[in-house]
Amino acid sequence: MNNTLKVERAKLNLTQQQLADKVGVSRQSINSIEAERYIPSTSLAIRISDVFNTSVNEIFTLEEDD
Amino acid sequence: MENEKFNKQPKLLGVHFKKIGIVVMVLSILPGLIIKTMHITLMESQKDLFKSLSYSIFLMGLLLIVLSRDKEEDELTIYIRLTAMLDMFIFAVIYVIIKPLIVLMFQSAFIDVTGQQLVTLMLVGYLISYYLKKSNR
Repeated sequence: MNNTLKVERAKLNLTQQQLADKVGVSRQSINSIEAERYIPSTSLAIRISDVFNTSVNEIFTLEEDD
Repeated sequence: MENEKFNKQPKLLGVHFKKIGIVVMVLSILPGLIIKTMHITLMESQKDLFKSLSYSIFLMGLLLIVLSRDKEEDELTIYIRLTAMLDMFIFAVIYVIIKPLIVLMFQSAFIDVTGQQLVTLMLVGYLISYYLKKSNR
């Protein structure tokens, strides 16, 4: 699964820690999601998309083999 | 809702149980050290009972550490916990499966591990696996 989290975060000038605090997870979780080492749960993906005021699909996209 | 059953976070002990676990582990070792240093002689049956009790208390301490939550607990740490537990579960099953083969191959009991030792290995292995995965997240 690909994501544009880093880009979206940069647009709002948010640090990983600030985003983590907003969605209620650790900074390491945000880092792992950005590095595509971890796929977030549906509820976390929705909370993240809410922060950026966009849909989940705009941030997270499936790869061909997903 | 029915689905909420699966979305609940696992029930873990409080953060302070890590310290309690360490204290329990130290306390389980301490009497043995005192007996050794003070040269107190115990009967053979007392020795076995003492060893067994100390080991059980040591395991309880280790279990408290394993079951206590971290300061920062979120869905990623739960995922890491799950994978670390799975690693150790697979290790234990493989160990039990191949143990008779190893004993047969080497014709010796040097590899013989008791239930308590296997549980210790699993708990320590889980902690190592968990903290390694956590540091690489």
